[in-house]
Amino acid sequence: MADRRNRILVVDDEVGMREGCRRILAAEGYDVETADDGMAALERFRAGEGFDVVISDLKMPRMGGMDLVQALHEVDEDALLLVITAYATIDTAVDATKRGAYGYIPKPFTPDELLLHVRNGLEKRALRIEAKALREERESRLLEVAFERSKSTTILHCMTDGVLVVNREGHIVLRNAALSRIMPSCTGQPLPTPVENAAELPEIVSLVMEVVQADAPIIASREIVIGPCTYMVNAAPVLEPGGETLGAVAVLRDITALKKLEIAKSMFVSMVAHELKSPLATIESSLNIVLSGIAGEDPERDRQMIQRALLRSRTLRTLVSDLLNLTAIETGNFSLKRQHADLSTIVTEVVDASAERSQERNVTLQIECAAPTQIEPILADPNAVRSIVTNLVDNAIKYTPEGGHVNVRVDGNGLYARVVVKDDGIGMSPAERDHIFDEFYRVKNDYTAHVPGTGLGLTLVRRLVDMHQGRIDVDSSPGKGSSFAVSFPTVAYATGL
Amino acid sequence: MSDAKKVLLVDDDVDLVAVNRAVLESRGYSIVSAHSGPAGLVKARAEKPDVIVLDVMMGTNSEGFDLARALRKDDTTRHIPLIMVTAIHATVPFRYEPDTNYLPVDRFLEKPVAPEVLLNEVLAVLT
Ligand SMILES: Nc1ncnc2c1ncn2[C@@H]1O[C@H](COP(=O)(O)OP(=O)(O)O)[C@@H](O)[C@H]1O
Repeated sequence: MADRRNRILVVDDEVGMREGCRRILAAEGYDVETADDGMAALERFRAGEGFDVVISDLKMPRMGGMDLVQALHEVDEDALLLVITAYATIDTAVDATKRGAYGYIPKPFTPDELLLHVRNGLEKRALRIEAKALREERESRLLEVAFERSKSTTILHCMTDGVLVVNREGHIVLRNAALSRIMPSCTGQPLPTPVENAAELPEIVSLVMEVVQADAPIIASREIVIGPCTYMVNAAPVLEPGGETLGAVAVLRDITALKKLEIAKSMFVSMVAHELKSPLATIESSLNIVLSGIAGEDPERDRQMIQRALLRSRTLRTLVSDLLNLTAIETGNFSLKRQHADLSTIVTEVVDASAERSQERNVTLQIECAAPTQIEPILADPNAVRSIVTNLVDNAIKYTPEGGHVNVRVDGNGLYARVVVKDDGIGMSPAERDHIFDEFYRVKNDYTAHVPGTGLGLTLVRRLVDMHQGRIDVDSSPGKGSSFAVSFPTVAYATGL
Repeated sequence: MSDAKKVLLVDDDVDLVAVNRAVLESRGYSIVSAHSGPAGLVKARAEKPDVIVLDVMMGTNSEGFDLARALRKDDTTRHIPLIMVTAIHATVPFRYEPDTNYLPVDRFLEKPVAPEVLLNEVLAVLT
């Protein structure tokens, strides 16, 4: 405002008066405009020209000062008008101030008198503008607060956690929508309501009151079961800026799913413990028999027992490493290093490495690859693929009696490259087949009892195949044999080409 | 040893059967074995053993119990003493009436069973 020169409009039908005033005011540095009657002045206001002060004669043709005051205020309620008047009309001038002019100046007047009145008017104007700005700011802040409050309320009610605020007297003063869902009995009660009335759960009441009544600020936490759900309830004091406790706020979080996970985990741990304990006990017994000599001396039998103990400890080691791999996958600590890979090459390597084991067991192991043009490169982690195929070939050899056959075939169709491991071994019933991918599941019968295994091999295979967005198909019938087919997406398919 | 007592060992752990077989054979018992519940029932009927040592936990958690019940229902095996071995810490009474449907067994042993304990228990139910 200080930068702008103050604008003054002088309204008088007498040219002499107009120009006299203009000269006095312009000399003081004001920006002065003139109009020759009320109507002309009003038009300039209406056109949007702003004036800080209007100096107006009372008696003018068309529109006099009295009407101008009123009309001006309709356009600009802050417009300031100084009335110039002859002694004869002084009553009218007083009247004009009643209608909204800020002052009057009787004719004749000295330049200093005029300037004094104008300065008064400008001061008034500045004050008014300041007051208006203040008022506007306060109003907008109020609006902001109102908006903020409704925003917090909205957020509070959108929260999935239940929120409950209790005052020092133990009355509920606030609850959100989630809390009403968790504790329907709490919904109907008008606020504030004693916490005992609404929170039907003595545990929550005691938790909240513990916090409210504590000498020093404390945070209390407890797991509380409500119906089929388990909630973690955290209660904290609501503190005044001074540090005094005003009440307590409790947050109820549904941890039912976490609880279930926890139970599943501890069941898994006890399953693992059992899977480790039984073979270890057997190994221990075998070694004990040999060392103690309690079953008499029989070097050949002792050698066999130690041989078996060795085999069992190897299986245990496989179990532990399978478990570590599975855990790594489950906790996200295992990532595939996918690259362009040739399925035939990997499968051929695996089959070569298994040749000795199949000969030992007198099982014929054969491999057959479709034309290289038919098998496109896959986008896969070669180590993972090796592990998948090794598991399948191992199983086929293990679960096929002496004299049987294992046939490995690689083919493809452009979208997928596929490896099929087929045996004419013991096979499985449909019911058994439904479980072979479960952790630790092993088919139990007189044949499998003699086959060492962990029940984790296929679990791992399944996870690895899933990670490749591949698929695994099993076909099996008891006594006839089984066929496991794993398909991997080709590079072209996986990259959407 | 024509009057050698015959023991049927039923356990899905072939190595554990081998161990128990060695222990019992060294004391003159003759041993037959099976690795599943159904196979155990077949062997019990065919071999008419003097005592059966049976693992509770086989393929399914109840396979051992199922076999024990089946043995008690069958006229040819009803009288054969049953020693049940379990890895579960169970505080079940030592002896059950043979006609009780729930654990119709003569002895309950905690796994792992020391060789001396096995020998004593087998001897005990035979005399
Ligand atoms: N080729 C197969 N033929 C018959 N049964 C099989 C075959 N492959 C797997 N199985 C069955 O599936 C079960 C789970 O396999 P897996 O997870 O690899 O564990 P394991 O270590 O016991 O082989 C095996 O115990 C076996 O009963």
